[in-house]
Amino acid sequence: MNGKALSFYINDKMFGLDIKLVKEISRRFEYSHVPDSNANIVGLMNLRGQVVTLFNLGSILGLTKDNEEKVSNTACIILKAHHNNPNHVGFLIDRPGDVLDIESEWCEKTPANVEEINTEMIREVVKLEDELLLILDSDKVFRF
Amino acid sequence: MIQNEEFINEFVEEAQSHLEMIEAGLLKMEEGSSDIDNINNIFRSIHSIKGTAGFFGLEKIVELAHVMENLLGEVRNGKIAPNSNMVDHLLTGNDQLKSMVGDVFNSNAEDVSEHVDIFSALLNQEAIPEKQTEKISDPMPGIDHQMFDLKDDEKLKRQIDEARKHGHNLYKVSIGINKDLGDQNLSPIKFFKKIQSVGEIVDSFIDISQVKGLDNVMQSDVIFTFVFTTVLERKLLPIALDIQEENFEVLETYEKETKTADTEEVIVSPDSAEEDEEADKDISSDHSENTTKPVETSAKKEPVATVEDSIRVHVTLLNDLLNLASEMVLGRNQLLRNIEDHRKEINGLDAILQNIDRITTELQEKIMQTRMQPVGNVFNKMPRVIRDLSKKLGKEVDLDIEGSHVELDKSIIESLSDPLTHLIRNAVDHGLETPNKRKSAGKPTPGKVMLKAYHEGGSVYIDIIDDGAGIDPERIRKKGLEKNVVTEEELKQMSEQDILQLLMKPGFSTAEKITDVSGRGVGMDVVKTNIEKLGGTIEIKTVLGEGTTFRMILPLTLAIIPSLIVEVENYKFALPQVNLQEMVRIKAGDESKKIEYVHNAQVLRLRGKLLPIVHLGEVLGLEHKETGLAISTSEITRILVLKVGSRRFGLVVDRIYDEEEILVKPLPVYFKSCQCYSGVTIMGDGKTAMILDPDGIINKASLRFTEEQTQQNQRDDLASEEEMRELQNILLFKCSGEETFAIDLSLVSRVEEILPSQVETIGNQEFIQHRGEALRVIRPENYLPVTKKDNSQADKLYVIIPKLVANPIGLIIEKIHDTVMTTIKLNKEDIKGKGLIGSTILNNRIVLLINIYELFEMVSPEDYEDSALKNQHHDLTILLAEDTPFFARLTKNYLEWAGYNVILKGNGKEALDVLYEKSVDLVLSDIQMPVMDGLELARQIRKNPDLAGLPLVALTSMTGEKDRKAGMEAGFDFYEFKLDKITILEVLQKAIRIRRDAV
Repeated sequence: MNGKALSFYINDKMFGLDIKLVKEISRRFEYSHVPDSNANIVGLMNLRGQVVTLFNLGSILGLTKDNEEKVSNTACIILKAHHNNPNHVGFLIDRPGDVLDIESEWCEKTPANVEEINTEMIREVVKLEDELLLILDSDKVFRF
Repeated sequence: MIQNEEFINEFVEEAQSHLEMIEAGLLKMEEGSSDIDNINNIFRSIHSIKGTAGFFGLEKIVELAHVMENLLGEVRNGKIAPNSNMVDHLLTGNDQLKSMVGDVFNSNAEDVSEHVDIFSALLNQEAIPEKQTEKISDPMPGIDHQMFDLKDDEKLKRQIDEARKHGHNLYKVSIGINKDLGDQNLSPIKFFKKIQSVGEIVDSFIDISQVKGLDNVMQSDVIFTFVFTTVLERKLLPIALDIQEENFEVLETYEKETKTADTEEVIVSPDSAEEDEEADKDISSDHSENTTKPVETSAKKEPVATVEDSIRVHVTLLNDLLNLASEMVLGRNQLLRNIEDHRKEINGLDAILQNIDRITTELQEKIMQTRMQPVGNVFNKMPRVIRDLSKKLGKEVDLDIEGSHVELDKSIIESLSDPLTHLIRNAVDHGLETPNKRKSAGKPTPGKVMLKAYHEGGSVYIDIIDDGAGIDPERIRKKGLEKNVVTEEELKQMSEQDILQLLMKPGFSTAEKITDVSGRGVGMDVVKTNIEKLGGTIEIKTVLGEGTTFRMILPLTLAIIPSLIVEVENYKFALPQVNLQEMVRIKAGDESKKIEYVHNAQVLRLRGKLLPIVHLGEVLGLEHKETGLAISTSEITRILVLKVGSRRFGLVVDRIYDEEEILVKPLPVYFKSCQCYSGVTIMGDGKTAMILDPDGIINKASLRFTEEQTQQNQRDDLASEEEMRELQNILLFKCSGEETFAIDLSLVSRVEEILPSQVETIGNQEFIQHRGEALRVIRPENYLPVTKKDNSQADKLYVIIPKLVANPIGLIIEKIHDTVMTTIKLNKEDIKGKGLIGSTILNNRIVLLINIYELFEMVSPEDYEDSALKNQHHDLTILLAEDTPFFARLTKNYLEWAGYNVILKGNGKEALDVLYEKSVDLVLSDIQMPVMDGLELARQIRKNPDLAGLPLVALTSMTGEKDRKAGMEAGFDFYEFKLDKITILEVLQKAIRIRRDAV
């Protein structure tokens, strides 16, 4: 990708998302769990009258390892509604990171040996100076 | 020539509504309406289509609209009388226009010459002879105009003169459609309207001299020229119209200019019209707009500057508003909570908060209302459908429409058109018999189709009723097997309703042969799915030989529904009230009411029948069977009795909160696999809650209902007279005890507020002063089997003063809850007691209905023990037809008290059936009843020679002189007000005596 990406942390791992997809980051959020729903759904949240489905991105990505430790979610990221999907979605994060300028020459497809997480959900890997940023493919992540 | 898609869309929308109007108007005309307003409206609509289409160069539309307009013009002027044949052609023409408007971009490729020929011929038949020859030789519209032009010139002159007399100035404005209007993003129509708002247009035409061919329209410019009169000064004009000074000029006179303009164009059109360019034809058609417009305006002297009283708003904007309004309600609630402690400290805060409260609620309601539209919008299309069908099928059909004013959410209205059309088609095609068959069945030849919308229990019902042959379930069975829609095994399990529902399965069609009317691929299954998508259901009722009713039950709005908030394991849910029948509370250790076991399944004995019990927590996986048992042993079990269609079950929840009107939001796609939910809502505290779907819960809990159970339930429903429609006005109040009482307001003369000290005791009786007289008052709780407190602390009391009783006694009560308009469904399991009619549930409360006559009789038996009124021999039978359970029970009660045997029936039809079998001594009938009303009953009885001597007494709440007269004409001997017990008993005696004397 080329442009700005928002980075954030889930289970202490850094991920990124094209900032154009992000509607807002909410630090004060309340949600209600929905019984009998998909295990990846945390619950529903009321965002100024809009119902937002909140996901547990960690479990979708298969980051189950650290789950036993108590993970404190301090914020959630809400995505813009897609024009052909009126449902608002959001997900919990440990904490937001930065807004980063990304240039396309830093990007690469996911290396073949990444096993820890579901690779098809990673759009590309960005080689930042001192670490790697995994850019998520939101279409694949929130596909049900 | 098409400038801008947005403008075109505007035109299409406008034209479509005009076309609807034309169609409705034409149908009216065919029915023989010679209403000049009607014809004017049609004329105006078609004219306006032609006019705007001209702006966009939609020449074929213009061409067709023009000839239609000409014909209608002659009709309007009384030169041609409309006939059925002509209306036929006009309707076909209208249809053609519809399809061209619908596909506006390809409309110019349509061939309308056939229509044009027809209309020209129609016009010529009775047009003035000398023009006839001319016209037959060349029916081209272009030529017609010239003829019209000549006439118009005069009128034009007159119009201008007239305007000048009133101090108008004459202006000519030329506007480049691309250059000027394009910049302002203004459509020609809007500009047209703008001018009309300040003045009167006398002429307008288009100059396309700059345009060399079709291809370079966009590069060069089309100049619109308007000639109009207005009182505005030269200086003000640019401001008013938002145009440049150089765009307009002041005219002294207009004739010359027109002449030149006209001649120019007239010269152009005959020359080139035949030869080449389509663009040229365009001039001629556009030109017709110019010249006929003044005819209209001057002839009718319409006020031109009309004020628009409606605007178009996009639905998404309304949806956003709705969201915001409900958010505001939340904000209000939060504010109220936070400020609660300080309410007393700040002066006047209370009033302000209340005001905000009220306004917010009203705001939300109003926004909801913006989405409501009358169902008539869809119904109006049906006369046309019926008309075409009846012609095509050779069946005479009368269509009755009722309840056009009933409003539904816009989204529902929009999706209703197709299913409704299909059901109407179905009724005429399959439902109604051919005229011959009808004759031999002894029915009137014209078949009857009725379209009826009404409110019922929070839903809107739309009935499509035909009086045709009915549906033979046997045939459906056979057909179902033939088409492999159903197996023999399955059929055995099915109830009659289930079998009828087979009609709605894909691949099912009962017509022996598929006609081009109904069997066109769009089947009943599509109807069913469409209705279900709207959250509605469809039911079929049929009587062989008498007809079929398709009933659509639709939610009033998709957006707000009344619901009950319940809690399980600390989760809150909203349960739509539509499905809620009653609430049952079971105390541990209460042997009379307890949950029992059939193998592993829990059931509740409710009034002698077993009700399957489902634990909500269990269904949602919140508790397991083992722990579930533990919970059910807790103190109190709360069971909601729910009904889906004819299936009933009990749902166990932990807590029941209030009733709330909830704003329904669609279920996010991610929850589609959860069967138990139908939507989401945001509650008063800002948190989301799931809306429960009882149907889904049945599936999830895999409850299987057998045929017998559902049938049983259905029969129960009939028995409980669910069909009643009469609304009663009920006063809800409380005495010193806990119970809520109700009394029908029609029994109440007035309610007065008094102080406890005003009640005086004389002997062991209590009195108050009322209008200068002593009025005996009683405390109902002293006589009724209810709780009471001896030393009530109430600082004020109310007295209900009844009406229509011989010796009035006031009822002292402590608190007035409410008055409600409702239909009362009496509980079958009575809370029995002397002085009570029964109990019902209103606003989630058990309410006891007071029988005021019995109560008074208990209070002072001496006044009511009038033996003269009693039939001592107990040998007389009265047939009572009354649909409202409340009145039925009340009346039956005092008839029996008076010693009569009573047969009670819920409507005229049932009563009539009884009369054929049994002999009765008198018929006492309500007037307003479903199925067959009292008037019809009386007529039917009087028609039958065997019953001619039967005394008939009408018992009604409609006491107007007109009603009385209608009643007497129908054959009633007496016509009495419902609630006057003594008079009624007297009348009954009189009626029976008269009859005896006659015999």
